Amino acid sequence: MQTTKEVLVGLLRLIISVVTASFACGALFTGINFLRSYGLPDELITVASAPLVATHGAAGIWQPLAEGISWYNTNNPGYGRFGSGFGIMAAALWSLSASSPYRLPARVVIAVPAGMLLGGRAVMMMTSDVVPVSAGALLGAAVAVAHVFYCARASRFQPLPRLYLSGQVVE
Amino acid sequence: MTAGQLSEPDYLLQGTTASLLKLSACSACTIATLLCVPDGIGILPDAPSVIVWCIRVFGLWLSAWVLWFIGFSALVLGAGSITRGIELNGDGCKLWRWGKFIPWDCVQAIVSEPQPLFSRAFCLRTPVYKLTLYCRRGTGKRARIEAENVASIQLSRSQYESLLAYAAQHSLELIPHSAEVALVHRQAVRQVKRSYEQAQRLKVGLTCLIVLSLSFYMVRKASLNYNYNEGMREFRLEHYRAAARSFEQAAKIDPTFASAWDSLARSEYRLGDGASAEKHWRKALSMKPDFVESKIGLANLLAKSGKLDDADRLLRNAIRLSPTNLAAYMNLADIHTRKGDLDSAGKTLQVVIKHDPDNLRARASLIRALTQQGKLQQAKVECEQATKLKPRLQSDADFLLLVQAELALANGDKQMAERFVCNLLPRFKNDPALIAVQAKIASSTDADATVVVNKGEDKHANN
Repeated sequence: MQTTKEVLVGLLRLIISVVTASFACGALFTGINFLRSYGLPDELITVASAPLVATHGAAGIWQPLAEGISWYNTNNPGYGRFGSGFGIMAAALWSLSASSPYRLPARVVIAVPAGMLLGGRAVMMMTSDVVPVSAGALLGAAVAVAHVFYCARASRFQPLPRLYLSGQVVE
Repeated sequence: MTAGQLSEPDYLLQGTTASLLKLSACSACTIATLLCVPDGIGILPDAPSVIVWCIRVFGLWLSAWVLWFIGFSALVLGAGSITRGIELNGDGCKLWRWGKFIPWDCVQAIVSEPQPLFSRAFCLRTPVYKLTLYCRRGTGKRARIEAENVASIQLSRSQYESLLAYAAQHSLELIPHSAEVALVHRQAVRQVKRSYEQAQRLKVGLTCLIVLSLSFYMVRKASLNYNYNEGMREFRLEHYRAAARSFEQAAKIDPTFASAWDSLARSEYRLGDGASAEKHWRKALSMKPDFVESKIGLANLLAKSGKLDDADRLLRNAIRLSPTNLAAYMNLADIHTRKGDLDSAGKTLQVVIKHDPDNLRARASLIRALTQQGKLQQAKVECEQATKLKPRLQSDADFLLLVQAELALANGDKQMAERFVCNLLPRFKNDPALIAVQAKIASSTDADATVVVNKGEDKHANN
């Protein structure tokens, strides 16, 4: 029961933080780009288009993912896309670390979508093709789960207790 | 416990996320400021006023700050997670996961000193301390003192003090009274002093090297950016000679900067110096073999000098690298047309229209290709769609009129063709293509076509 509650809270936190950070960082980077190119004529401002194509022709099981990626790309143009991506990855990482006090099964469940978001969005910096993005998402999930197990092992050790610089000689 | 290994540690001292993020944020201020200096100088030619320049510099600074903060935070947090932290127990310590085991009885001295230069350079309010453990390694004649360092920046203040107290307590059997301390075994004073002096000399040398390298980098980068942007400004003003001078200077400063070679070639092409342009486009491609714009420019030049196959190969390569580069498709269509392969030209133009349905130049070129192939009905349909579009450039609108004249002529509608030609005549009296249409109209209306054709040939020779 406690684990289920932790999973639900963790997933809800992941969704809320990812959406909020994506919007906030997208807006921040759009603002930065506005400042960087302030006063420049429009024809001198170029927006990378290469990562935004390549979802054409995806069919079958890939279709919903391709539609999702295309929707994301269309709604996050230019520098804002980078910002939004950064926001998604930062929020996923934060959610992952915020779940560290939970029990191991809950952490593993939360690590899967967080890792998928991290890996998938990282690949989307290079290409929007559904196959590499899916591969990146799976790899991200695997790394996140491995990280959870690794942290569980490392947390067996105690932190060093507070010692004061007292100037004493120890016998 | 086996020699040289740490048994199960009692304690693990890991860097706190807060202190690592603080380091990232503070270092980002310094790095962003340093990076902004050459960029700020570089954008001077493009800035119409001081206020615009200040806003852009702030944007650049903010951008560099954020990117450094993200990159450095990810690096230190990732490295911290992999290297785990400092492992300690009553026998000794390991400063990182794969570090050497340091038995406490080998520690000959412990030095903890502030690093004011580092603290100031990275705008850190609390001073950074460096803990150095001087350990005796080897035995007999091969005995030597090795220094192992821990920076307080990766730990919180209390963690650092606890580590210092723990290490001093276990190795030298006393706890220091402050974080600024040097504790040395009586018999190892000389060796530790020598090792400390060596480390100090190395630190000074390294600091000088970093300062010199950074100064050189900044001056070079500022000069490069300034010259390149100055060249771009002159190019936009169509002062191609001045632009070429600036690009040449930029290319001299950094011969690996492919964009400078490409822009130099572009200026030379506009000045009519085809040989130099070809040489510099090839230079740009040797520096950056996937430079699409250089490939397109060089292809255009080669096509003009009749090397259609070479141009074709370059453009196909450019399209492979950049599948949405419409300029490459347009030039490829032109080469197909010149080779007489109107079918391929039509297909290539269809690709452009698919990506950019409002591209009037592409639509007009397609109409021409269809007209030349005799597909007049298709050409007519395309023409109807093209006339509904708003031209981006006057030259596109003029080109459409010319193509419409050709289509009208092909349909045998001389009056319509004449009407289109009349619209163009005031601006393009001597245009060879227009003269050719005029000649066709004249020949079919029994006028003196030879006179019109000769006039056209004379003008063509002059161009």
